[in-house]
Amino acid sequence: MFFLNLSAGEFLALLGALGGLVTALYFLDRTRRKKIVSTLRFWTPAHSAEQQQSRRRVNDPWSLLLQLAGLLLLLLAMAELEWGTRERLGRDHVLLVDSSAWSADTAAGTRETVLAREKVVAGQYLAAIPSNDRVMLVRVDGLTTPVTPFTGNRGELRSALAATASSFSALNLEQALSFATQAQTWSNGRKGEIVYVGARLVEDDTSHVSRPGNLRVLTVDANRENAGIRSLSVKRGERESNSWQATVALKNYSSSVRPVRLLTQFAGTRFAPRAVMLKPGEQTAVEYDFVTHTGGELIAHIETEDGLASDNRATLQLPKGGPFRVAVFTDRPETLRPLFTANWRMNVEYFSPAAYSTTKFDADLVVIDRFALSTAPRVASLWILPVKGQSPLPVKTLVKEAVITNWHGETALGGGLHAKEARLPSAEVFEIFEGDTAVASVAEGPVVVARAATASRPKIAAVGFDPLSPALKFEITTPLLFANLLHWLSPEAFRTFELSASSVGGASVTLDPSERAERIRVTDAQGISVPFTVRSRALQFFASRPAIVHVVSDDRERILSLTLPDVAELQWTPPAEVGREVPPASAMLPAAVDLWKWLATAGALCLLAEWILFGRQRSFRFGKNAAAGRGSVPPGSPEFPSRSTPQSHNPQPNTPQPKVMAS
Amino acid sequence: MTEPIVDRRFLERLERLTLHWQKSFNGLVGGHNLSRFSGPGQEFLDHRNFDQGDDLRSVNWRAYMRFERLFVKMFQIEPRVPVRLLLDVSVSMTVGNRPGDPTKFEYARKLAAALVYVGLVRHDSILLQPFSARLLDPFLASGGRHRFQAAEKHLRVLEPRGKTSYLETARQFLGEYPQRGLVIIISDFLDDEDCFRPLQYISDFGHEIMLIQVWGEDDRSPSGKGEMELIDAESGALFKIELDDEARAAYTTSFDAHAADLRKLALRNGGRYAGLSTSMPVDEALFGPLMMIQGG
Repeated sequence: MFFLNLSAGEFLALLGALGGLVTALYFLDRTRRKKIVSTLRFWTPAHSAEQQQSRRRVNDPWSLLLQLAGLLLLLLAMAELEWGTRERLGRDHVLLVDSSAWSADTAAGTRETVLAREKVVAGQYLAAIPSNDRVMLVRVDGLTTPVTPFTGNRGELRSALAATASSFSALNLEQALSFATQAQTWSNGRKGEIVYVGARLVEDDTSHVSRPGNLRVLTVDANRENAGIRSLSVKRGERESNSWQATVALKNYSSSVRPVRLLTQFAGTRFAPRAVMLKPGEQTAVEYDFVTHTGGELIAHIETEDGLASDNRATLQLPKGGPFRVAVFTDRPETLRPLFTANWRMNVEYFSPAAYSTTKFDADLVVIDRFALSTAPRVASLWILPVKGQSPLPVKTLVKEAVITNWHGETALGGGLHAKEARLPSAEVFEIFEGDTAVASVAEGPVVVARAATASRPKIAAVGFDPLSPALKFEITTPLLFANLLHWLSPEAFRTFELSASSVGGASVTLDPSERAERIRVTDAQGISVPFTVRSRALQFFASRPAIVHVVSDDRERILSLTLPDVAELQWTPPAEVGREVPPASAMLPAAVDLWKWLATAGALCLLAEWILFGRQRSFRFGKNAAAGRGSVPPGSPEFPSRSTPQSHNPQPNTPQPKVMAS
Repeated sequence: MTEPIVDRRFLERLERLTLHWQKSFNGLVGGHNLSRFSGPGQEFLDHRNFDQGDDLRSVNWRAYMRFERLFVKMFQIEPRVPVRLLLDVSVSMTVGNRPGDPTKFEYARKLAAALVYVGLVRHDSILLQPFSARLLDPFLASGGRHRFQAAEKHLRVLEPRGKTSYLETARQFLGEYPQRGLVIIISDFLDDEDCFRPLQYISDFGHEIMLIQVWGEDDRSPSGKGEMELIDAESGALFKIELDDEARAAYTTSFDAHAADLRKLALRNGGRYAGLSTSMPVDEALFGPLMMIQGG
């Protein structure tokens, strides 16, 4: 017999203190209370004889005994008294069930998956431990996820175990063991075992992982006869606007040579299958070049006989391609042509100004060179020397022989523009409003202005001078200014896409030196921000489950399809001294008998009996007294009848007498 | 602003009440009772033959014209009975009430104010005479209802103090007020000494006594149970007791017997008695038990 929460000394001290308090309260309850009265003349000596009783005398010994007994039993219940030895006390175990990517592989020598086998082994362990042992079930893969608290409810544990499914990430053993150790410390119970059930396949070296002394490893070996896709990446070709380059990385995880047939298709079109012979542990890359201007799904699939099917297929969603269409309305196309040929993603068409209203054109950007329009274009537009009075941006004044005094380098549009005192034979000075961006200014005001798009109006940029005039034609600033304006008007034309499919878990993207960390956004497919870090030009984030993540910087977008399993390649070897088998039920000591429920019930019964026998009577009497409060005379008194019959104060109502008061 | 002891609505209800007494007192007394003596007054009583020295203004000249004899008209005297209200302001008047009930002192003060107003409405003169161990400063209320505020102010400033001594009070009262009249005593009559003898003295002296006993519910039926120390509010005397149902019942019986003795004393001497609990509102007591009580 032992107390779970208290030592015998602590228990006795607590009992003594509370028992003394109860006894003191008992006597205090019976202490004479003082009361001031109008007179003492009606208290007879017969009453005073009763006062000879000592206040220290226990009038209701059974009441006190029942109270003390109830207190004792309740204290014992609170101390969780158990019948047995301390060694039979229940313990707290942490059961780590490996749900990493390898748990979906076929278990060695069986047709079951590793996870199904793990569930069987974990169930055997739960059956072997004593019934009053508590277990916390934890699912471990790339993340450590507690599924249940410490509980003795085997049904709850088995339900949680049955609901466990394989994930796509690799096992993080260090994190799992660290969590289990902390959980046992925080449980404040008797420490049990930390039991790992799984294939022991980890991604990183585990030599530095500290292993708790109470560790038990129940290994469920995986077949590991697997070959799979490690990654699938796609990027645009450098020379042609619609060309793409896809790379599929394949790996053989097994210990034998495996033939693999790689099938690839895009938007329903199959590419020629390729047969690859992979040596044990070999990883190879297969490249495809293809040209398309449409979007679609790129699928890479391998045909091989293995147990892990989740890495046999990778998909990528390619964005809609196609060139950026620019319509230039000018009467000097040859002069403007060099400005637009620098970017091969642009498909530029030249029209005469008169064709604006007569020709049907389809463009993403319109360039208006020195003429007025009756109707404004519905797409982004770049105006060169617009006609005063019909300019989309109001022209404030015309100036002659002006000098550009300020290239607004603090804005993105003015970046890199540093021409010193560029002289303009004539220029239009624009009036700017809130939201407008001045790119270049003369003394009288801005001469290059950009106006951002609104819901009803596309982007507009206007150049208030002729950049191709003989004075400016050979300035290096001119193509840079156009490049900046075109980049601002149509950033999509300059953005490069990189798409890759890789494994779930930690992802790393190498950034270009020009990419600034504060201008990078990382979002998932729903547009929700994903936390990331940038360290040494490497952007890192973690995905615990399959996801599509967009990494967007200034003119670059990377789409990472993290849908492949993170297949670990190393096998962890636990120390030789740890237990490796499910312990037999006989090895566990029988459980101690828990008595607190019975003790609590008995204590409550004692207090209930005390109340029925003594307390209820007391409260009943008090209640009766209170009920007799507001009547002046009890009904039974002949001299003072009840208040409802005040006239009966006079015992002789029929005697004719004058009245004291009369109306 | 100080709250009045009795509110206006209650005063309006009191307008229709009158103080009555039963005795006929020797000498000129006042009030509304008819007297057997003739004298100056408003109500015609009788005629008699004119004697030398009679006031010519009382001659009935119409009768002289008819009978050629001089008759003098006699009028009924308007009695002036002194009404004296003895109000107990001892410390015992502050205890004995149950929570929520007014104290006996508050109750008695309100009752006294109501009785004074009733007297003032009928142009009676009422002497307010507080007492505890001895008579305290009196106040004569007379001159009609508009003098009520002064009487109320006098009542408001009264504070409970001292120990009750009926013997000393009666001795002083009889010495200071030899003229007989109606004596209304509002008290709990719960002194440690005998209150009956002094009351008998007052009655024997020719006064008509009207005893209004005010008690709190706790005075008559003490609450509580178990061992208690009872402390006399006036003397500070201590009485230890194991209070149970039996003791409480015996106490109540003694209290009722005391009240019955008071009533007998009043009735025996031609006076009246009323016992009022503070749990009964004053207006209810005035228009109930006090209107109904009868003398012996």
